[in-house]
Amino acid sequence: MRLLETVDLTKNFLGLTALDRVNFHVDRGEIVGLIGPNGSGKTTLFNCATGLLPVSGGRIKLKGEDITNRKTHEIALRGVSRTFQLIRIFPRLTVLENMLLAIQQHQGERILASILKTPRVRRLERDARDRAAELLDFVGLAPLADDPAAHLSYGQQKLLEFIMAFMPQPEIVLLDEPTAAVNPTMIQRMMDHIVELNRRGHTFCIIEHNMDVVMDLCHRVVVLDYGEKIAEGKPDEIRNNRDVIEAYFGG
Amino acid sequence: MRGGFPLTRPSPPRGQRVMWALMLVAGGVLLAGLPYVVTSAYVMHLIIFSGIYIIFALSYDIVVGYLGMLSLAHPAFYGVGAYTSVLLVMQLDVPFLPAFAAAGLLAALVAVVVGYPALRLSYHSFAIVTLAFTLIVRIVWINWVSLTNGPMGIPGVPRPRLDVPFLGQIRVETSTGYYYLILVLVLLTCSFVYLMIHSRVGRVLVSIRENEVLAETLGVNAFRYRMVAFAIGALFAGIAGSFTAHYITFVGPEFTDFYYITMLLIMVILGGSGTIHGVILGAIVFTFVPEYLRITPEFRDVIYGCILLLTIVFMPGGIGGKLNDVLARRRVPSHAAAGNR
Repeated sequence: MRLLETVDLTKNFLGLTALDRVNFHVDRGEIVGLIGPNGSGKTTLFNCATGLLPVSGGRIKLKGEDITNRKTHEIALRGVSRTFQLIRIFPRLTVLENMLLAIQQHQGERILASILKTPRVRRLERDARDRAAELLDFVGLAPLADDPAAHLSYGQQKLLEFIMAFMPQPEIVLLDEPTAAVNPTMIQRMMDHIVELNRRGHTFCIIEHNMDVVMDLCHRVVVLDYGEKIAEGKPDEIRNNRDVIEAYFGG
Repeated sequence: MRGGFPLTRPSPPRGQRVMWALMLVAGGVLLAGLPYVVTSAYVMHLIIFSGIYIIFALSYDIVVGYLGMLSLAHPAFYGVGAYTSVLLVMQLDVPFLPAFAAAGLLAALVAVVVGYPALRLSYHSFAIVTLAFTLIVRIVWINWVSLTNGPMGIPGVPRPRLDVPFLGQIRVETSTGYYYLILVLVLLTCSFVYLMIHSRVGRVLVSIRENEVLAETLGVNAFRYRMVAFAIGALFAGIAGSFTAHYITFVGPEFTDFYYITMLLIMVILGGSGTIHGVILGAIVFTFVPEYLRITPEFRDVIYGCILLLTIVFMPGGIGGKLNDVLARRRVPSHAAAGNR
């Protein structure tokens, strides 16, 4: 089943074509790798898919529903979670508070009700705390729950951002370079987490430069170059694809 | 402008809780007995105005501190609240309490109308648009003579009569009466702001201020939360304006004076933006200090300026921020002793 799909997705920045009629899809339960040289349009695709950038042409669909140019928070509420290339967390809030923020409004709460703490709100809040504790425990951040996020190491912040994406029980998680600039041990931990969460039914689309990670993790790989899709296939096929090698190392 | 926010806290040990309860009772007795201790009418007047400014400053801190938007529209909401209840009571014979509520609600409604376009703007444009709004509202007060009596204002505003169920009608006429009324209003305002800040709403507001893109990515409708916070700020500003008019029994265009922006910024920033107790202290201190400096008319402004300067140099987080630091430093050893880390 097509979970996330782009049809002829095009994005122009003034004269520059960042995405050129890209047809791309992620099926339920897959881990799809999105690779390509710097500036090939990978992050732009994520930004269009999450409503952070208006698209210039083409459609984006989530579970068959057209979400093109929807507002960012609406897309998030429909089940698209993401992380960023440069970590985005709330550094001055604690780890737990960061987690709890990641579930705002996902339960259709009312603002006044949440100020007055109605029993329903209390219950939802307790459920959110339980879920946050469980997820923090899963990635091993539970002992740091009450520390300000700024006090965490770079790798731990990366883990926090990663696990925050699962708070709202997303349909699909878009990871933008989850292993960038982290040490090998942490890379392995991150990979284990992704594999385990995928086994539990989560769907992933991952932008990644580390080829070992891509080859190990991904069921399918899509390659972008200058905004165009130049290849798509199983990791083994991509590894030996002439166009891909050329794009990466120059012809 | 950005303070730290203790959003979740471990529940304190039992001894500490007993101490808090005792302090609460002592504070309650002190507040309730104040009119019987203070004999000077002048001091009582300042105390009542401190109460008004606590509400006014707290409502401003919701917008400036928690939302992180520099709104210059607050004097407009103060004026809208004042004129609304005065006109309702004097022209339409509406009882005080409904008119008072209407003052807050109309101010909030006006905030929604202004905020709908303005809150989509960037930080600086928002400041300019809200400034323009304040200036326009002031011009309306001056020029809509048939309604507002123009620059002369409306004197002889009736004093509040509260129709309370089971208690009958309470007439507020003495400064003691006004004191208890403003005390109740201050407690209600503080409780509401406290609950709001410590609910998800407060957490979400902080998150929007800190990183809007991330908040949106997490499913937060930032615009909706901005509107709600802006309207709540206006509601309490309107209430403060209404109370003021019924207290000094006058309303005029000077209710929407840009002077109030300066005053509010001093109270909020030097009091400690983002801390409720800090803003309360700021409102009290900066109501009393300028008054007591009247003893030296020649040096009044100079001394006031020096006080402001020294405060911001030595307490950049405001009075509230300083208090938080001091308390935190005292708490650290006990934490360590409990083996908390």
